[in-house]
Amino acid sequence: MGNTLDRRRFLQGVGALLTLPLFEASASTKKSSKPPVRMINLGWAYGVTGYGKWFPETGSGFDYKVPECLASMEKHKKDFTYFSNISNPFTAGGHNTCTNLYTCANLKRTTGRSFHNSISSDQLAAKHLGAHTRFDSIVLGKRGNGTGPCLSLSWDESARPIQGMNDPIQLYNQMFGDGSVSLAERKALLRKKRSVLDTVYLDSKNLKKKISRADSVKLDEYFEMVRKIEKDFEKEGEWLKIAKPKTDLKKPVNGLRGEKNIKAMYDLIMAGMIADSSRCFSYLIPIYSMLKEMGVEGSSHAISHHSKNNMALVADSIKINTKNAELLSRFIDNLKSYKESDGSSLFDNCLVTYSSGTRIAHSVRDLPCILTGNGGGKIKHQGYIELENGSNRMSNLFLTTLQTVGVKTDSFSDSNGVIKELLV
Amino acid sequence: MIKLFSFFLAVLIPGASSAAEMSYSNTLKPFINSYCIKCHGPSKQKSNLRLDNLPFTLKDLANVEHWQSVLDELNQGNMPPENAKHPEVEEFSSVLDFLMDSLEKSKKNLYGKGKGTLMRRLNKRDYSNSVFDLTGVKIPEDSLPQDPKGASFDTDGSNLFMSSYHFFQYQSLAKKAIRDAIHFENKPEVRRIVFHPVAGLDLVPLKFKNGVASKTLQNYQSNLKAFLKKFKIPLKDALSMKDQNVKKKSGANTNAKTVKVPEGLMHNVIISPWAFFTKNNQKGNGMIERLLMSLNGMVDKGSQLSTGMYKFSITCGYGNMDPSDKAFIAIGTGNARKKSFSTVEKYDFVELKAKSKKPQEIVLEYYIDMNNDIGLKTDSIFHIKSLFQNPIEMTPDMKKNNGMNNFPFISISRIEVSGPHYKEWPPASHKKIFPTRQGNLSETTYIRKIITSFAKKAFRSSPPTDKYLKSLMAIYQERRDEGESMEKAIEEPLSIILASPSFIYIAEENTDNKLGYISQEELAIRLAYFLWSSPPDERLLKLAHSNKLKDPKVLRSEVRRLILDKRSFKFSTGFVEQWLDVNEIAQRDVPVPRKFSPVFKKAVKASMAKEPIHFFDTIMRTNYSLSNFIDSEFVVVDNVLANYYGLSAPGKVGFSKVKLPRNSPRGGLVGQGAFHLIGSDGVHTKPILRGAFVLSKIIGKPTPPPPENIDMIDADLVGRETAKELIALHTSKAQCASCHRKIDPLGWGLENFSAISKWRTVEPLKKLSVRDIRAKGSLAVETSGHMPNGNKYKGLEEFKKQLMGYKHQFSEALIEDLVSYALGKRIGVADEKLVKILVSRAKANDYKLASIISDIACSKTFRIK
Repeated sequence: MGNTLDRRRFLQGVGALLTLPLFEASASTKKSSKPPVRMINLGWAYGVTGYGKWFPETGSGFDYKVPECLASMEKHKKDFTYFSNISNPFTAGGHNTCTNLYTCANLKRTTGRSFHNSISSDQLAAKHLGAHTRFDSIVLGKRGNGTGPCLSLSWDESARPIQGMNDPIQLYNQMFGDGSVSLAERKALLRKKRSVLDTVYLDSKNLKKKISRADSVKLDEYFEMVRKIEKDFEKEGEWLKIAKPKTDLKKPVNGLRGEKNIKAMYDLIMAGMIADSSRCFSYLIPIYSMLKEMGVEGSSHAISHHSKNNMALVADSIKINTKNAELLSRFIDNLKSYKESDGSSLFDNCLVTYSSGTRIAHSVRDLPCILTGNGGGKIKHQGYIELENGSNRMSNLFLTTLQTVGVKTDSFSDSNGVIKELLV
Repeated sequence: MIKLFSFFLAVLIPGASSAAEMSYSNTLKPFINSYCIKCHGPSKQKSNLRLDNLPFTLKDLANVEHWQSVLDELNQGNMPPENAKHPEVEEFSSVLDFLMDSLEKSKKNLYGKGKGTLMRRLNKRDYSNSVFDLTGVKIPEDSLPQDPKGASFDTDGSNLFMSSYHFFQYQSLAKKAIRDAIHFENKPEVRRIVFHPVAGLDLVPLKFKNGVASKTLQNYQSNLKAFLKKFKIPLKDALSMKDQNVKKKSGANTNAKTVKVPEGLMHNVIISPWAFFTKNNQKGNGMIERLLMSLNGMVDKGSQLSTGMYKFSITCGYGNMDPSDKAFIAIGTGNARKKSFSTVEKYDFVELKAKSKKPQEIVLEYYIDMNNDIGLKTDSIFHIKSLFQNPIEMTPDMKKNNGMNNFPFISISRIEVSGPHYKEWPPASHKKIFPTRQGNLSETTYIRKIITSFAKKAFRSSPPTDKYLKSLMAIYQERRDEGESMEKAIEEPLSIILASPSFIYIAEENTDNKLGYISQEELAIRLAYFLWSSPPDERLLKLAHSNKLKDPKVLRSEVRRLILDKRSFKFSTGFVEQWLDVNEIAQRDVPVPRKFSPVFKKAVKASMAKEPIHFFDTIMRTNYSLSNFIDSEFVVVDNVLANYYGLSAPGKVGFSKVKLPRNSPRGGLVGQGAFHLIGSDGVHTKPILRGAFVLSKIIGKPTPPPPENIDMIDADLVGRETAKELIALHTSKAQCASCHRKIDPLGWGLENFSAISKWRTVEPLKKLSVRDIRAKGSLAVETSGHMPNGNKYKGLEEFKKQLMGYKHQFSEALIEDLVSYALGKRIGVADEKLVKILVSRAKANDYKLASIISDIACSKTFRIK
């Protein structure tokens, strides 16, 4: 189609990256001895239980008693770090739950906009690691279901929330294929998708000519979107040549809800790591339907506002946090049990951050945050550590994880250094 | 830009900043001198911060942000440091109050920026209605991407962003809408089905385990026999009845079909609350039985039912009912995919007026969408439930006869469903896309015509280019060449139109016109999206094209027409949902123990969320005064709410205006269940939330949300039993007191309304659980407080009288919100003049709502770019 070239020129004109420099390399590194390091960002809304039920009240290093809610993590005690006094200093209000948890953005002070976010750590990592894999990143979890106002854990470069997937079957098919479509058909499908993009691009150009400059800035969002989709198509085209990987994991059954759904998602994340479908994952864990399954009456919001005045709410909060931790512990078990080609375990070659954007109610200081996984042998877990004021930023942790998974950067959002204690 | 702007600000309101500076030297300055200067003054500047010479202009963002970080430090309790001198609570809280207030005001001005309306993407409501206008098919708003919740309304272009998710979602939902609109097939046969509770349906008592109905039915035959025997209800011949009898009974309905009940989809019907009594607790929750049906039972396996209008007729009546009780039939509609109760989206309630001996017929119509693609509604299901409003107590009389005597019951003797009913065929939606094809027209010409006119209409003011249309034709042709049918092949090009920028943005041409007036066509579009959340109709466009809309008289009468048209309900919904945040209700769990049946509870909650919207809508249509929002002699309720409030029910399904009896507390917004529910946790009231609502919405003084990181007050509760005592703790901490001394005294006015909006005179003790409350009792409700101007009140009546004194402030705040919605931006200093004019006009005209809206739509600001 005539305008295809024209649009490509436009894409190059604004400096979009159309080539895939690492793509050729990836095929050869695939079988190399050193497995890649993956980043997994986990989050949930509405915080944890207070009164020493989630946070240890005393102790340091490995000399602390694992609190009630995290009892299932006791067996992994040597393999995770438990942060005390870690925060996103520029969170606006206690009502944003996880909105800037993994972006560390300053949500309230941006001129002329009532809301602004920035890129999240998994997406930044995806920009660097994505070229090796079929999917730059895999974003999971869906808005609603107890996530409060948080739209997603993952935000792209233009600070747009990335819609997560919450259907295990859809995720399975994306990573491993459903085997029903031939290569020729998939090629034809992609060509058709591109002609759709070409057509709307024509209209965008025409509209741009007619509107004011201020409105034109608004329309740039649309161009930006076209550009992003085009890049995705470009990659899809390249990867069409390579058959989707096989997996030992059985295809999930229909209609999984609550706990079963979360388990299936964890299993799929692991299968995706094994197949090297992506190296960057984020998962906004939906807790609401799990709450209902456990027979908890109240809403996630009400439970987060528990206080000693209402022991029933505290009990509900403990229930949900315990269950959430059990699922994490099970995930760690599985990661440890899988041996990679060089004899190391999957657990050795990943970095999992497990955190929530609030502590209790509206409190956004001293967030619940656990780091686990050995980061390719680069991470030395510290047990329970209290960070010093001034350097106690979430962004410092993410800078550390970004560097560990191989992203060459010396800053992330408002970071002012890495967390040195974690490095081997 | 910012410099230029602050100059503008200074010229426009010369008095404002000097007043702020004056208060500064009275409050903040002395505070800094006493508590901050030692470390942040001339001799020392810890953290590089010097406060004594930091100007308090608040005229540019840098300065505002500087002071904001000072406020943050104070709020978080970091400053003054522990070992330093600390201010008294009273002094501290007035400083915080002053600083917060000044910052909020100046931020508001800075955000306004004096700019005109920014081009915006269609929000969910706009998109759904615009597609409906083009295809006659409604895309459920909930299936569209969520619009972000900003500080302004969802008409503000700066918040409405675009992403690839939007793009793909638009295209796939649009495809679905187009598919639903086109009907080349023959008119579907109207099917009729008669459900007969005896022969046509299973008739089995539900089995119970711990009071919860079990869905598995065992020993069907023996249960049924035992059941019939126990109740001695005239169904003796039940088992001997055959399907033929039903056919005979339904008489003229020759194509009536007796249903084989699909397993798992249908349970049973009628009879008695017996099933809901358990051995331990001899109380029922009032709900009787439920009939869950899927319309797929109407057709043979493998064939599909058609989308369309279906008619339900239910013959029913009650028996043995307590005279103080009420009986209902509730019809719940929802999605069958999950086959569970939670999927029922809405209930329609009809109160029963007839006894079972002389049953009544209830007829309702539903539009049913049978297609099940891409996450839209799948097979529809219906719950038909019969229920009593009140819990049923087991009386000694009932216990006689083996405990099964004289139970209240509701019987359903017949249900007939028929459909789909179409007024015309092919339906209007089809004709919208495919006009009659002239005999000699080639397919290419015909399709080009269709695509062109669809795109032209979709793009509103900006006609599509030839290149664009050609590209769409090529896509159509490619699919045709692959062997797709005409109606299938056209889905793609039409759906592309509905994801193209000229459709999804409300674009206005850059005009050289010095005054900046938008064209008349653009004005028509603005008006329609303001008042209808939809594109303009033909009449409005005609007036625009014939240059008549600029005539002030024509404009005003058109605005009036738009307001009176039923489509303006979309404006009422969109505006009120955001203005009053009524969707919050969905977030409230209402654990009312056994008080009402779960169905009724759900219905009450849903109706409460709608009440303020219908109330606003009625006030707008009748051009009543805004004072009705503070207190009114009427409410706008449906059967469920009328019953809940103890008023006479309007009878028909839906909301209607009902005049309040003298002394009813339900007048005005503050009498409505929505706010009592939002201002509660389901068990206890939350006077603070209610106070904050009154302060921000009625008195018109918005308060910022609680600052982050303030520890919740968790004081020792011994000796503090009532809400008032608990809340008094707020004043013990300056960071809380700065706002709460304004909020809390307002919360008591509504204390006569319980957590679930029932009138009460006593309140349960705070620290007790629900069970303890029952056992240990309660205290008289505290209903006295004071207004921001210091006036005291006691009780709801005095409270409302005092609130009426704030009518002007209320109107001013509401007008600002209406302007913000209409112009699609945050209100800033540039809009002050407009707001002022509108407010003074409103005052002269008794604050009539429709007149205010009309003034906004006719204002110059609304007509310029």
